[in-house]
Amino acid sequence: MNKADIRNLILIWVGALLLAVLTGWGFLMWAPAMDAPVPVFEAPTTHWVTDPATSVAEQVRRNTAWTITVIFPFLYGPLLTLLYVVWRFGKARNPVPDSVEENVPLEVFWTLIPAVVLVVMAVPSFAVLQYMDRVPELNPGEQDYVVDVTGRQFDWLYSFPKYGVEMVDDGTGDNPLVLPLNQIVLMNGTSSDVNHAWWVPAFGVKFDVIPGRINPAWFRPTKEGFFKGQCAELCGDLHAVMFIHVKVVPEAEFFEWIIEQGGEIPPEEEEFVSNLLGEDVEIPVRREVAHAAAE
Amino acid sequence: MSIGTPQPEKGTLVGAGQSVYTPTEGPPHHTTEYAGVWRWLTTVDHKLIGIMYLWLALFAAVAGGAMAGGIRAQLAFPDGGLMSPEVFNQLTAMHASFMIFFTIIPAFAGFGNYFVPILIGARDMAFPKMNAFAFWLLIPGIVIMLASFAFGASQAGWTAYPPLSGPQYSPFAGMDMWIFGVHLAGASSILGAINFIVTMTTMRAPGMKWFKMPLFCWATLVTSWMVLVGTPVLAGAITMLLTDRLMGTSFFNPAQGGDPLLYQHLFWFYSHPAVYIMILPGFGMVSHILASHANKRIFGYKGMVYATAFIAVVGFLVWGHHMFSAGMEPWLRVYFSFMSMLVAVPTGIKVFSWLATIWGGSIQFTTSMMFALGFLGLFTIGGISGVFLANVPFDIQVHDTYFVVAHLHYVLFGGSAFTLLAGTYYWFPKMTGRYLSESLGKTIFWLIFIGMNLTFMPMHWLGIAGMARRVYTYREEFTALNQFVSAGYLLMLVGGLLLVGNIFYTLAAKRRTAGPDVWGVNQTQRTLDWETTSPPVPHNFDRIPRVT
Ligand SMILES: [Cu+2]
Ligand SMILES: [Cu+2]
Repeated sequence: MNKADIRNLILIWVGALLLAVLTGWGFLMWAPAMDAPVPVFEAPTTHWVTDPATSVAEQVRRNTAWTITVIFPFLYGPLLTLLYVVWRFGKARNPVPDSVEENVPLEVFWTLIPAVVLVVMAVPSFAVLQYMDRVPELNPGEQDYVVDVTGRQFDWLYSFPKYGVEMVDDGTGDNPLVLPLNQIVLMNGTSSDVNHAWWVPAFGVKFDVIPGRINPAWFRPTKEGFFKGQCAELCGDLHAVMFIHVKVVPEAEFFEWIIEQGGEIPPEEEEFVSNLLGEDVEIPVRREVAHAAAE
Repeated sequence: MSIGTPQPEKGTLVGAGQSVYTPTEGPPHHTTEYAGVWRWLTTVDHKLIGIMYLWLALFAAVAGGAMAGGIRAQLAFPDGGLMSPEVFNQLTAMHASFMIFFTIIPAFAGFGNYFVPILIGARDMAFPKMNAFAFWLLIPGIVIMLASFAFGASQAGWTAYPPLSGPQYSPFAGMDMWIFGVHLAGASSILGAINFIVTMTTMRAPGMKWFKMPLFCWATLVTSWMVLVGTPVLAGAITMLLTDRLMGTSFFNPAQGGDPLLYQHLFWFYSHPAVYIMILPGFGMVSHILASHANKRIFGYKGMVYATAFIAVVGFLVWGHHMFSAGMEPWLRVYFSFMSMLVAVPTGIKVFSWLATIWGGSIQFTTSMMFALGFLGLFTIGGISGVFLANVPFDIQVHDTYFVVAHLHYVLFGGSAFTLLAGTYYWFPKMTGRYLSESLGKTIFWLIFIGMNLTFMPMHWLGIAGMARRVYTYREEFTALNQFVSAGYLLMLVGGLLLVGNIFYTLAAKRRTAGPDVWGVNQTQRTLDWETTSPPVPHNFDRIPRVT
């Protein structure tokens, strides 16, 4: 081993660092192309990388770019070093091997550096994790929307307990779940048979639904549109086609849909909803609650 | 054939810091003793048992590979239509079960059986009869697994999560047979592990202190401890599943107060460590191959040993990373995430030490070395995607997608299988006295290497783009990448078939020409496998070597 080799090794690792930064940046730049079809996938695909549709997905996208930037030096570095060794230390080019068997400072160095880098990666990752785990405070005048979801072989049963709406997404897309734009959605998932997982890639949300348990999740849809997802836990023959369809619409349209589904608005929300829909729309108000209060 | 405490003979003490042994001269005088079916069926010789393990692994690899072919044929088009969803789910479940329980684990058991006694200068394993018993348990295991196809094979994935694998949703005998098959494989592993531990603890040649033991032995020793701690837990979990199915218990039945999540915890308590059970012996093997073919000694021997032990300990504390989306306390996700990231540190030590070993070397590019170098690159890729999966926000997105399939194949195929291929080329002449064709070997390497990357690299993007795993059909937009994947499979298939053909041809048609030091590496390595004849005499060494 001579000085030129040491210099080349340093160059390789500097190059690996630069390449990693470039990759992380490229990952973020992948997103602005979201309106055009992504070439390799041949068709527009809504997912958390190219088209994040909730604040959770956006956070994950940024965190992934950061992870790439700090971790990829340890991908490019060893691979480039390996290529260099193959080129430089073949028998033909290097007939006499050295006899280095240990180098304690070097070994300490390559133990400590990855440990430090892992901390640099872990801290922001845990911050995003905390964001995913903690439902944010409601803004004044804002309310959240609770959706109970039950996975079944092989469709999804949704219910909005507050409005008495129950509906089934049978996987064809004809009857999608409708959610209000820019509002906090709280989901409670369970299953009535085997394990499934509710997953909409564009939302950055995935949680297993398991019989006998309730798994919660929250997100705030930030984009209007139609989003596809699917079951993400093997659940039987038709697991592959247990699709999920979600339509995100402005809050007013959401309430129109609720009413269309035969839902009733609790009395305390009547004013709020009629403000949204306009005076001339008749609002079905849930009367049983009023009766119960009178008795 | 075990001789208990080895009796060193006078006059074998030579050299410094290495093992020294004078090989037996003259033509191999054991050929007749290796012949005959009865000899194989009744043998307790660790070498013959090791070879039988390897044959079994080869058979299971061909069967499991054929199942992968079915999967890739179906997925070559979005609506493959080649098979029913039920058959597809059987293939994914059985492909993984064959590869894990009957290919990789038995293959390492085979190399371990053959070479651990030789490398520590012993004449056999500590318990030769138990050794044979452990192997023969695998035969009914694999037969039951294969036969289960006739009774409705498991469709619940190799993970067999209840309730899907429970009595209500898998009401066919094939599921019970799967459990029995895994039980037999597990029992075999446990017996093998006890044998390895006792052998290495008590039967090292005089002078072979712990820190003179070759790295392959260290890796097998650590792996054996992991098997001993982990496998009984898996056995417990699938036994509970079995009694749920057959005897009406309800450990995992929520309708009667059971909990499906309990199974996942028990299953992964074994099955995460199983990842290391399937790779650590390979780490040991490539350490030998990289050092010997670079004409150097391994860099940082002690660091390698400590890193192996550290991986084993931490490996038992990270199982929850397979369950990040299954529902657990927030702080628990932080814990499992952090511990999983921590595994990267000892793994990094290993990768850097291998690079430092070949750095400054004088590399001999045999097929074995090419597979070892290929391993180093591919395993690095698999390790890095592993760090990403330890990162919870990212893991949630790609959990149960093709990204995980990509990661696990970079680790288990690019990792474990490449070390096995490297080891096969490295030790085949030692085991048989015959060389596999080097020129054909290089063709095979390139076919498998290119095919492997073509198959598993696009899966990363498929997963990120949102293709779920274990699906028999997929959305149109994933077609192009899936066709790359299926094309890659064809390259690997050709490479694999050439290798199998070459093994049969070499055994049948080639003459024994290998001397003791097959690759001419013993000047630097001084490991005992190169001190005895190829193949070794039945008792390995005429005189027990003394190591100094
Ligand atoms: Cu499913
Ligand atoms: Cu794991």
